Amino acid sequence: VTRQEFENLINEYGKEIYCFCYRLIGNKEGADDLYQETMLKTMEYCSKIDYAANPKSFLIGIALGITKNKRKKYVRRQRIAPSTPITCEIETAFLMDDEQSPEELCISKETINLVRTVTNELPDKYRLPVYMYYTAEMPINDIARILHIPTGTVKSRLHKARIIIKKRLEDYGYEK
Amino acid sequence: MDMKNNYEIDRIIKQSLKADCEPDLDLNKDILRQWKENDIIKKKEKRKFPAAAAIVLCILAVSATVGAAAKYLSISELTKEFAQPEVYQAFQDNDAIEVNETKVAGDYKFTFLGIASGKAIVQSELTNQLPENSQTYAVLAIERKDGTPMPQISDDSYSNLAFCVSPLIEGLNPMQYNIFCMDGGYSDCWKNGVLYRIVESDELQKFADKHIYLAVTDTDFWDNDAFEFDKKSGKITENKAYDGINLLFDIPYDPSKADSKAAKQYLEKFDALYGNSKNEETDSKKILTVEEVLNNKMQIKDSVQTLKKERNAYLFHYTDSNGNEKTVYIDEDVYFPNDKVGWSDELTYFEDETGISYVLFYKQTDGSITGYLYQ
Repeated sequence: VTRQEFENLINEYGKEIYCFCYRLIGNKEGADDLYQETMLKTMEYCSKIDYAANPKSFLIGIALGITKNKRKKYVRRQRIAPSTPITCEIETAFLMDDEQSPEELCISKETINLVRTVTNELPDKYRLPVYMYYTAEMPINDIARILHIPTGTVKSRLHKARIIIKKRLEDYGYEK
Repeated sequence: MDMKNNYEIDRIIKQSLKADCEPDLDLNKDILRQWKENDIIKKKEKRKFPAAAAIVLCILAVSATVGAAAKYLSISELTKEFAQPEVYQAFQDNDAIEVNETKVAGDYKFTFLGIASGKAIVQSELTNQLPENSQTYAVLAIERKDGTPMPQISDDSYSNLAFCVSPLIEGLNPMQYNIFCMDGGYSDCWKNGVLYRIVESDELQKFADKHIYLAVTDTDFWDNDAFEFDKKSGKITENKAYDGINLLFDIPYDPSKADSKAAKQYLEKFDALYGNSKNEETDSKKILTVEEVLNNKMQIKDSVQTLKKERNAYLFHYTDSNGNEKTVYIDEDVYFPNDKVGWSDELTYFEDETGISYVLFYKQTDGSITGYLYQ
């Protein structure tokens, strides 16, 4: 793999991979570490990447593997000093949409914050497919392959996650 | 915010969680710089040594092997020096088992030193509490086959190593029952050129009347292709066609130590936590594929409509069994990737008192998309 090919990989998928790492870890410092480690690990596996299939899923699988292998370290660190709660820097294109009124903007920010917090509190069995589907925009089949569960279970978990998030939003006073 | 239907929540989640952040330019530059350095190192490693240098290396390698054997740590020494007191104590218990079995695979020599059960030291990820029951600790020594020392934990090259060590249980599919689901964790330590891995998981001795394995692969994550599971017999075996390290050690538990009641309770909790329950399987089965919907469900003729595009989404409107008007938003890139035409492989479904209804989408060659409701 040439430097150019590696650079192309970063340019094409870097944003989604980084954002997936950010959602998974919940802070910039951790996301930077995980993203960097994922990309460097990718160097070793470059020959195994099937460019005709979905390199993004391959990269997400690597990021997930690194996170899971470091779980113990993370848990221990949490016991010593709980990691900072997620603070969201929302500067999304969605919020910059000219068609939204200031009132809608305000609601959107609040909603986005809430959805992110609620999602982050979900058990991993729901949280991971949600981030893979909504943030990394991976196909159901790829999520199933990486998580080693049937596609039906992925769909079922996404469905249940939506219900939980909806319920939590309603608990916070959003209209039913 | 209007949350009248499930599609609205889908849209809200999508908007909230979409990839809207990106790595700093400096971070990407740093990665590319490391890529360049790594590339140079790789090229150097491939360089052939002159014959005289090779002889010197052989002598050094032999010396290192002898040295390593002499300096091999016992589990007791290892856990006393590196592990937490609970782990050390577990291996002092009468039920601790010394195995000392060595297998060679790839460039490495793996020695399964022993296994023991003791107090839990790591919080459960799912409950955020220390598990009430004890955990199992297994110790593995990893050396290079050629006797050269393994990288120290502080070495940069340590991060290039990948080993996944997981207990497996006869009769339970490794795809679902592996270290990642068993409150697993590990810690690595290094001494005299040998890398030791202390693996922990949910307590295993309760399954002592079954064949229990310690599986080793050279991957970061559990690789389901590495082992074969015979659903009929429940046996787990190494996949001979697997390209990589895939070893299985036997854990020699005394079958009389099995606790079938505890094992049953554990599996019930496990299935409930990880969604392997019969209910979820039923839920999964309930959701049909596009083909199954076309073959088994009835199309609601009044529902057929050509979708209108508003902003970035196509909209499908329908009325549910309570008479409420609802809208489905679909993203063309998701439903018809790569200019796909014909039936989309994706579908949308919703559940109400009448059961599950499905919305299928068909794209014509002229680009128009038609939605169909099936019940």
